[in-house]
Amino acid sequence: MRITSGVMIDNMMRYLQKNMAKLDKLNQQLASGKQFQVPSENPTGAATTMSIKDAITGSEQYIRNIERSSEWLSNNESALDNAGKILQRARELAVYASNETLASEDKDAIALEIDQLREELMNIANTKVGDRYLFSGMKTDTRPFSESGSLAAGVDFNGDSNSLEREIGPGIKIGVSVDGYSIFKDGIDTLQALSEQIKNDTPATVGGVTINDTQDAIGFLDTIININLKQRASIGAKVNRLELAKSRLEDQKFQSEKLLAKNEDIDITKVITDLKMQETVYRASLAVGARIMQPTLVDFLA
Amino acid sequence: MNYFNTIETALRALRAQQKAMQVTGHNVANANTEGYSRQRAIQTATRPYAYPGMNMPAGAGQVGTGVEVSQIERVRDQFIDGQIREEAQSLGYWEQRYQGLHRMELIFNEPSDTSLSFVFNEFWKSLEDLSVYPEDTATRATVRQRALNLVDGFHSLDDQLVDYKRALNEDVKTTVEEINSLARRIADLNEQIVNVETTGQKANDLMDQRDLLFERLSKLVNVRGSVDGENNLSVTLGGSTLISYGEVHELETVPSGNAEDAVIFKGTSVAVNATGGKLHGLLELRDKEIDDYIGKLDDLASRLITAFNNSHNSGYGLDGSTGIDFFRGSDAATIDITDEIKDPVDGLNRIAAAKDVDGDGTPDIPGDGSNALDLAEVVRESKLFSSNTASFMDYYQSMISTLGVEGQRADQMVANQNVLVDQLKNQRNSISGVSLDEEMANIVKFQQAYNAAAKMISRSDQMLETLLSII
Repeated sequence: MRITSGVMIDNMMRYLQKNMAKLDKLNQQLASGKQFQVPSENPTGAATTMSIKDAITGSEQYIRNIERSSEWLSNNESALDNAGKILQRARELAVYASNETLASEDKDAIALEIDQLREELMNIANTKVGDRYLFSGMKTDTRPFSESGSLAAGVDFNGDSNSLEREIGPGIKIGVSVDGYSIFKDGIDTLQALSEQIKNDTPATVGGVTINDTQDAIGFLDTIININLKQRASIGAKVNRLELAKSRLEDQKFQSEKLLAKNEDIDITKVITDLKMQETVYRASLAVGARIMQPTLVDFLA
Repeated sequence: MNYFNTIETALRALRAQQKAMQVTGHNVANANTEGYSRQRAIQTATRPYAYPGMNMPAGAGQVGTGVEVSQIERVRDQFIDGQIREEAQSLGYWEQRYQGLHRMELIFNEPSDTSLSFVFNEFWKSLEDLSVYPEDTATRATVRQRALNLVDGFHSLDDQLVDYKRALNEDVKTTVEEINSLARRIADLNEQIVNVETTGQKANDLMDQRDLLFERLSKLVNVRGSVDGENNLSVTLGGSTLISYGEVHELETVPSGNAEDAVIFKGTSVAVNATGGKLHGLLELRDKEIDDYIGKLDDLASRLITAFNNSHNSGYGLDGSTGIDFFRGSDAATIDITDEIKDPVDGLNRIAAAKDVDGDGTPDIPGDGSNALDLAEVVRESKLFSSNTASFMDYYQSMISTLGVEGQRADQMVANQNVLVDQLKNQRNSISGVSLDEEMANIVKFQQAYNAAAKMISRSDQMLETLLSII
């Protein structure tokens, strides 16, 4: 092949250009920390990045849902815990009141305390977290329990029995409501009936709960305390399930983030090494270029 | 022996070497001229004649009469030129295609935190939040804001693609102008070349220029050329004549539809059949690729609108309202949030997060977020696309990855074509390029021959003088 200085210079320029392009790519990678900037540089990588990011978004949101559900459930739990203590105290008072030898002042005092306990139970039944009532089902803006004003009717329940549902994974839902009616409606009415019975020493009926003597009350309270315990056990189980789901999601998220980093982040050591090598190559090609621009015969002819 | 003949022969030699020197000078001068091919002065011995003698009609052998430059030719391989033109056509197409696809990638800007997929995911997150806090106004406001961001995302992509389509239309017009201008210059050169060649001379430099222009034209559009006996170049474009001798059938663009000017032969209704070169790349991007991607965006928007509204209609707002559409419009350009939802007073309350869960005929507001979950499912999980096999994100991701794959292919093709064209140009340079070494050697060669011829004259003169001094 006949080589002219034009051919050599063209070739040199081309190789310089190629080496510059490689340097530029490595520089971009270093500056952005990413292996590719646009999908065409690595279509599979870009698609993978998008779907991993999608998965991370999902995990993050479900974790957020779980955290809020756990918080809601633990609010329920502590309310039920307090309700349990009140019911327990009421049961103790009922046992105490069943003592035949009790003076009437003492009975009055017991009745008074039971009235106070009822008030407190009412407060707990109407617990509000943020601007939402815990025990009114889906009618979260409605105060669930209110005084009806009539002994026969007992306390009014204004909520519903629907359970709030939370999504903790794609299509996986969990109910986070406690049926307040069975604990609080019966509990409050029982306490009121008990107080009436002790005050007047006659059978009392409040909201469908009839108490002939303190033994009746103890029986009813035991049932309610039992229901309360079951509810709390169920909440505990749910919180456990949420914890498990959360740690699984966090694990997934961690794995996804690792994958994402592997997929698109540069290996800095490698890129810097490559860059150094490329710089050397570029310098070499410049040096070669300087040599290629050889003197011609012109320089030697007088 | 004829002294005068000798002087005449030497004189011819002087002229021939001088001419050769001139050609060398021309080569050196054009060492860096684009498209120039080195020229050679072909020296041939002039016609000899028999020398009449005293006792024979002709003397020993034939006596030469010297040298002349019979032709100045350019050193060029037409076959390589043809190959370069062919590959340049392909290079022109792929360069334009890569540029266009790359531009679209930048428009979609995936993967990044300002892209459609990002605002889309944000919208989904707000719906999930709504399912947890359906009674919260701030959460509802977030849903509406994120939906507006999504709408803006669609609009911005659509706008940018439509703008790019318009810009491409302008490029088409400019390219057509460029084709016309090149064709006119080639036609002018045709006339000049034929004029020169009919006098028996070689129009080397004009032909170099014409080859260069023809090569440029080849990069723009699929042209084919043939050269006839008179060195006249005829060019066809997709089967129709573009240049014949000094005549050009110019192209023009005529408006048709929206930002899609048709390219036809001027004064006819014959459409230009562009199957190669930059023009093909431009037309394909303008009329096919962009429309494809706008179509896919429209599909995304319209199916989302329908499915989302379906779910939204069956749910209940905080105020008990039902049967209200959330989105309106039918494609990426028209998608928007309905006025009912935009309403500054009641809009937020109309976002249907609740259902009638217990079936008692009244909505379970405000605590129920189950319809918000349905909406979230429509957005993230529901298989609305590709015959119900792909979710919104699946469809969008495959669209972006198709764009990436096409862009990568175009990028590789550009690199391949560049290598091919570079190699061919190297070959051509190797044949036609000026080598200063060679030219310098030639200068020495011609100079020596010139000097020798001049010596010849002075010696002949001395000989003649010797003879004359006898008298």
